Amino acid sequence: MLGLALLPAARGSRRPEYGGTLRVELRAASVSLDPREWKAGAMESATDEKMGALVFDRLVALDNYGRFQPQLAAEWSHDAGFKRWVFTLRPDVKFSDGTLLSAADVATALQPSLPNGQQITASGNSVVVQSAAAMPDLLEELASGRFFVYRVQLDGSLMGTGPFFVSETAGGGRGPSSSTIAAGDSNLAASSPGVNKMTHLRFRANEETWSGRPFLDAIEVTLGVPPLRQLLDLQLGKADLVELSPELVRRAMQDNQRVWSSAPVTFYGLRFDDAQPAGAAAKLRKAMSLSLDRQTMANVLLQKQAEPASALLPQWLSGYAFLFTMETNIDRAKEIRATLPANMAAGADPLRLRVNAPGDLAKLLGERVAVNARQAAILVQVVNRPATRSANNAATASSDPATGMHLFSWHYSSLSPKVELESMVSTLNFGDSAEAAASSADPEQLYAREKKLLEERRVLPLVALPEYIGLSQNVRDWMPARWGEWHLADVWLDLPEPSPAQPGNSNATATPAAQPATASPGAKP
Amino acid sequence: MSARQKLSPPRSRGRFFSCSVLVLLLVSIPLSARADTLEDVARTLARKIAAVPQRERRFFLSWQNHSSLADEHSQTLKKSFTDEFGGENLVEKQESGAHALQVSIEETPAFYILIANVPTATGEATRISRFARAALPSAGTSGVQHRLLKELIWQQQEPILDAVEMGEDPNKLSPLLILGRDSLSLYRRENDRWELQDTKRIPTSEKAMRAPRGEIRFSPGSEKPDIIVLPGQSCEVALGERIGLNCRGASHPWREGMSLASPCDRGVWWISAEPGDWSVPDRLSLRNPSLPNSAPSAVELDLPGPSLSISTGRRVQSDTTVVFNLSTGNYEVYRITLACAN
Repeated sequence: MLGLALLPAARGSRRPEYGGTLRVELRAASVSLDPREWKAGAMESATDEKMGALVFDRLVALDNYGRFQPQLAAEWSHDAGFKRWVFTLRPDVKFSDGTLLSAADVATALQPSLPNGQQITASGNSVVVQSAAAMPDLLEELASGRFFVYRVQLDGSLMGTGPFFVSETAGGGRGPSSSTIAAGDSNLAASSPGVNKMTHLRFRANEETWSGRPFLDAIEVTLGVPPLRQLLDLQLGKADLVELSPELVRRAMQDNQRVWSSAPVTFYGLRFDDAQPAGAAAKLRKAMSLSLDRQTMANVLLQKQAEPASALLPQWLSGYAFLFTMETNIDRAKEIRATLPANMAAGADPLRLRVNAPGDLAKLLGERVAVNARQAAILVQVVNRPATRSANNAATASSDPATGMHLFSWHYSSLSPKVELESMVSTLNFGDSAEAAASSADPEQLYAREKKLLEERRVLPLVALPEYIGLSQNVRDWMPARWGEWHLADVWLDLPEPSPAQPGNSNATATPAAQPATASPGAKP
Repeated sequence: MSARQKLSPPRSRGRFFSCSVLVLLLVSIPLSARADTLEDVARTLARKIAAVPQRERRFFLSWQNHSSLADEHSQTLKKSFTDEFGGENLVEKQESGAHALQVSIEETPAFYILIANVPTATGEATRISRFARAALPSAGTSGVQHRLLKELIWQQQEPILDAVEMGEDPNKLSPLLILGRDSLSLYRRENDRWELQDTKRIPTSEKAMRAPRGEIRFSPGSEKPDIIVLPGQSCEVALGERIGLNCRGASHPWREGMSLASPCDRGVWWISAEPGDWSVPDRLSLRNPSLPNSAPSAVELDLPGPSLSISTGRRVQSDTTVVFNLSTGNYEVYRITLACAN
């Protein structure tokens, strides 16, 4: 009778399986795997960061339960004033070419990303981060954004320690070196400056990664796929993971597709240009703010797939965003408008609004801003951005001589609210740099700083959008962070039994190679 | 002076090499023993409010928890706050002359944030305190009275592959054997707390595994040795004051369930976890092993996360299951027993 305990049961929990290729489709026309190129807040950098997480590791990670987990750092400590942190590196971590990671590699990779005043140095098998100012939020800082560790090789390419490496790329036309790299000809994990804009990527599992071989054999990424095409490919079984644009979310759900959404990670706002008379007029900024109907933007224009924004940082990041409110009061806006010169933002001299953010959504928001403003007797003329990647976005702070207002997008990337706020302020150039230098991670002081920035109204929040992902039914263990990290190394595919009747299914016919010697179908975690 | 963090290897919940006895002991300390942080934060906030210039004198307290913080912790915070602020400054209900002091608990990826809106003569002042989410272990769930019963007997942050109870008395907390990612540890219950008796490191393969798996297999009443099974090897286990391990290469099929004796009819049933991946909670099912697999389960029991293993120790009338609690991120060991319906 007791022997029954050791008999395998006929059924049981589904355990992770190794193998298969995850097919991913993205909107971005190209990807850079060089963290040095990523621009703070840029929409494109959000995609770059997701792809970067496949090939690079950070020192620490923050899990969904608020706990910092060791990654390349095995342990860490700090002094009483949070001015000196020591990170002891995990031993025997290897880059994808088999060479050992050193403290010098870490220091060299991270120094360019650290804010002014923070210094990182190698010391034995540790790195030391020091600053004259306290760094209580250093772990949040290092657990997010561009704080990946890599080694720059002699040919300029980057190498990582992560769970995957790039095995194949197809170029997007940035110079002669953007040609396809033959599969398997390199174990290198990234890109050289000339080949860092790719339109097609294939990532292969890194068998030797310190964190354990990922379940997937490979990840196939197709870039530049329009949103509707992505949804169709998901419906037809041609893709496993796609980005859903907000207007397609409802349709995908009605079609019983698996849809996942993050916390709001993309912010849309208006920035006034102080160099322009209209932008510098505090009363006009106030009238504009009162005219904006954010509820309608979020609920009607974006079909309830966005949230009205009343703060620069989202609630999930700051914890205090709910304290801010943005009033809509057309009558009051008209009253204020009436006190301004009649020819300001009127007639032949409209307030020009340049849409710097990419995508149709930004254009729609720009038009809605103009409609709202008109109700307050403010004439806004919308000028759309040029359709190029680099022309965009939050990171473009240059002034158009004739533009008094910019519509921008901002993708949150840091888990440190202080770093994110100051990054936004400095990139968009709308705050006092002296105050930024003195800015504190203390939430009360951070709240006071954001409150002051909002009261100046040089930036007006509009809406904040989550990221929406459509998933095929066979994607398992999809456990992303709510701030948008995908954790694809943990994902596995519930593959059907190979069958001659399924010749078109690339997953079903995926080569069984690369099954690791230790890849018993074991229990995770 | 320094603050120090040491968490061994990992990668999300699945990749943490569990070996830190310190962490195990800390986590097994009762929550009340580590409430200082909570109390300090609440008192700090109370003192900040007391120092607000031109604040109103008497308030009624509106306390709201918008975070994932367990209600018991929220109440602990509230009590500390009230004690520090002074009961004479707070009234129970909204009454004339008393202004609302709104305190809410919010949450960010790394912190719980306490925010107070303080009425003043000129408007409102805001005061904020915070504490690290990681500083607070989430409360475990207690047993739910079904026919299949579960009782939480252990929880920790470090991964557990398998766990079994060693004793034979079903009414006592017996020694607990815990198989971690690279160690086997034996705990005894002393003075209402778990004490580590011995821990032994297990030789593992050089390659890190993303999905480690291991099982403890006891053979009560048989001549077979007790063993632990790991990918590619098995180890004979000798348990006394110290743990003895003798490992060799071997391949065993993985277990998918466990028998469980009924105290009601002396019958033996089979419990297993319903198929599901690691992102969703599992449900334990009880089946009659003599019926076809397609037969419906007799009883089901919801778990707070995926079941990583089901094992049995010396007792035939109880099993243990290791669960990754999706709400708290802890690894939990539950004793599973079968109770009579009546």
